[in-house]
Amino acid sequence: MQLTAQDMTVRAPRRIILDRACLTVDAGELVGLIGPNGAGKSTLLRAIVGALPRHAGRVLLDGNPIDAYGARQRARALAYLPQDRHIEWPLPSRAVVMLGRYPHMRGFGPPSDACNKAVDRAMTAVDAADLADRNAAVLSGGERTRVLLARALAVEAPLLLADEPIAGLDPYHQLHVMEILRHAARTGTGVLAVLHDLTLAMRYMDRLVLLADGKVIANGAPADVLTEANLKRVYRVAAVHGSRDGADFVLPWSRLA
Amino acid sequence: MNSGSYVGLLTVLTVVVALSFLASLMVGTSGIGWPDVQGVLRSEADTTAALILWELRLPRALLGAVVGASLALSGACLQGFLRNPLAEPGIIGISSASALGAVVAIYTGLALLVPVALPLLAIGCSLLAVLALQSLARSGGALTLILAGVAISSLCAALTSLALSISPNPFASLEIVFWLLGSITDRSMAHFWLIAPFIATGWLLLALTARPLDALTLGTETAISLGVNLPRLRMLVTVGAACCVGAATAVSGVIGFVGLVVPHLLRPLVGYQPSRLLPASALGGAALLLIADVVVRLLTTESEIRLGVVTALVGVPFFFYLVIRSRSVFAQ
Amino acid sequence: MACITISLQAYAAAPPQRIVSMNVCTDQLLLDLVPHHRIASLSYLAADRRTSGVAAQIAGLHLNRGGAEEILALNPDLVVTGEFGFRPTVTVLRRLGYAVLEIPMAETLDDIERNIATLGHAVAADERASALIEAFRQRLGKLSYAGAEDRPLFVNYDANGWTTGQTGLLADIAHRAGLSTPGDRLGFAQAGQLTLEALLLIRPALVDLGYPWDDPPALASELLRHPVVAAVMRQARAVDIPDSAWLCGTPHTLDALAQLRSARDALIRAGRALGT
Repeated sequence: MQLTAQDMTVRAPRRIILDRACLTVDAGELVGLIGPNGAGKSTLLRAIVGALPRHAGRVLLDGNPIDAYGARQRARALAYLPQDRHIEWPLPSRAVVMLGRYPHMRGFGPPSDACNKAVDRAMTAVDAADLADRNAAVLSGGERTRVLLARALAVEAPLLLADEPIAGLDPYHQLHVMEILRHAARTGTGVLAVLHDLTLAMRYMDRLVLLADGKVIANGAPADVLTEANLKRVYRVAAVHGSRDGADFVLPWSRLA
Repeated sequence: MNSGSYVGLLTVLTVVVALSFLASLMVGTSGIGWPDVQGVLRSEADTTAALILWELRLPRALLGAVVGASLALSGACLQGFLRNPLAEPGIIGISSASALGAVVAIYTGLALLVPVALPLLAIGCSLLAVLALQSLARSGGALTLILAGVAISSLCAALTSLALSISPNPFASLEIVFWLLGSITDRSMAHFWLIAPFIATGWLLLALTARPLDALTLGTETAISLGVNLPRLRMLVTVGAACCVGAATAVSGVIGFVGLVVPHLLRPLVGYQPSRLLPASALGGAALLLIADVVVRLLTTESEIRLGVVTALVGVPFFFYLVIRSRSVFAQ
Repeated sequence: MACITISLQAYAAAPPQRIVSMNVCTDQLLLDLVPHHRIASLSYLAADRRTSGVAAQIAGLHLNRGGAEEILALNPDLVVTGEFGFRPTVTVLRRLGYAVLEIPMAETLDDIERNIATLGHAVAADERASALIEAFRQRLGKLSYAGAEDRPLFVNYDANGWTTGQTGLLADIAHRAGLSTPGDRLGFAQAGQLTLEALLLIRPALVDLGYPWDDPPALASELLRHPVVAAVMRQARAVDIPDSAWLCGTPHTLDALAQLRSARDALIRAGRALGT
């Protein structure tokens, strides 16, 4: 399924947060949404998912306006992992992941076999099967992020939007989550992830969208987006470029005036 | 927790409710006991025992069960929706507002002319209170919500007292005790049938919030992405709680703490899942109030101990415990 | 038990011509003893049809609310009030030298005779008082039941379930009429409260439902509309004794006795002496 966002505009009382931002995510693509703090990345995701009541612009799924979809259909098409990792009640992790099946469940009965299998698949994909019975509220940062990511994967939606999925994780878990996202994309899901880590963005993403002051500055292959000029203008940093095992990477090195 | 132990819990609660209901039927000033109940059911007993059973004890037991279930169910829904452990109809002012509406209906003589005016006015005032609460506490946190609730509750209690004081009826001002502390003594089946449709409506609306409340566990944004219609959920919780609590308070006065204590006690037993908490809370609330009402009748004193006193004596220590436990949370 | 207090300080030798009554019971006794032109004021409750049996007879008379200033403005030569008059007012009036007579509440029919005599003497209407007492005794003698037969149970059921004990004026009236009271049956002396269950269980033969208090209503009035009360009324004989007949002890209290006596006789004739 293809996601298209056109002319997304969000206004606050004293400034414009998003200014006619456009992007596309195709099936099987891993797209990174990057930009400095306050660029409007999280806002763009929220607007696409429908968590922002007032915004202008159009969101299309396979060319059809998302407004034509009912809430359930929309929920089955778009899975969302927000920045807020708060879990209100100390549910067991498996129950948390099962919440991802909400758009597929009807009535008051226990979860169906299909739902149980989907949850199993999701928990295996994030390597969290052993956390199933543990209290989600007391998990460590890495464990909790994986469980919540499993929750988003359990929706088995063709599109996955993840807002800072690796924030606060140690290097091991950061790499792990990036691998999970790549695997999801390889199996056909269109993934849009907000990232701050430019190094990982360059290594794992198929395409990057660079957002600054609410506008899309650049949209294309990582090497074309993370140019020295863009880094200087948008991030105000100088970076070191390198290559290993045939993959290019970039390393922010020093601040510029 | 798996489905098996959940069903087991519901079964146990149902049995407790059934036993308390029976106990409620057998306790009273006149010493009518189990043999008499059996006799009445077999249509052998004399009319006095039958009258006592059908016209006095049955409505009392039914109201105890229904009021208790409504208060606990509303508390569970409010706590789930507002994600605030202190949310319950008494604390956030819905109960006091309902009492105000009921007092206006009764003491102006309106309820005598149009009986259904009693639950309608109670529910109406209750809805106003919830709307006021939501606009006062719109973007504030848990604390703001509780403060707004306290304000509304105090205002309604004061207005209730005022209304009773200015009534020309000489008994009115003394009856403030009933309205503020609650009682289901000497109610009749007419009271039960009067509120039954509103209670049923409230229960239905609140039942529809069960699964959306599960989705809210992960916050409003995730819930929206999962397809939860947040305005509709707010409407269901608001109107459902107003209907249940309004109708219940109209015939029983304000009974506090049931909506606070029961969901908290049962939440660990249902694995903290909001949807499972709803039926369990309803059963638990019914049992709690029925048992409290039996206690009220067993402790014979000069004047009747009010139901609200018993629930407060149980609930306030629990409230203290919650406050102490939350200190460690907020201290971080 | 009964303390009669008469202040002799400013007791005029001539019969009092400006008598002020501050109590609805003394209002009624006064109207029986002296003509209107000697009455300066009656209490405002004299006009209340529920408590006062003389509401129709007070045309043209001033009504007071019992405040000291109001009483002083009337310039009375005798003030009569009940046993439980507002203490500060009574004290002030006495201190200012006014004659204040307190008539105790009548707890029995004999007390009524004594009160008539006391008040009659104070207002210098002794002959009239004697005549009233004589008529009272004769009527009482005719109406009283002196036999040893069954005493059907009479229940006076007021708002909030209040009913008659073993003592008190209404209890005395009921006893003289050949009836028993809930206080006799259940063993409480003063007035008490009956729960609906207790009301059902004592199976009264004769019931007087109290004033409905439904204009405007309160919860107290709801109790009298409970289906259990309706059920009791179906099995018992109803009688409607006006509150004014027994709230105060006056010659008209015997009207209540007459009602109860004839109701008792009807019950015995119909063979429905339940609850004995």
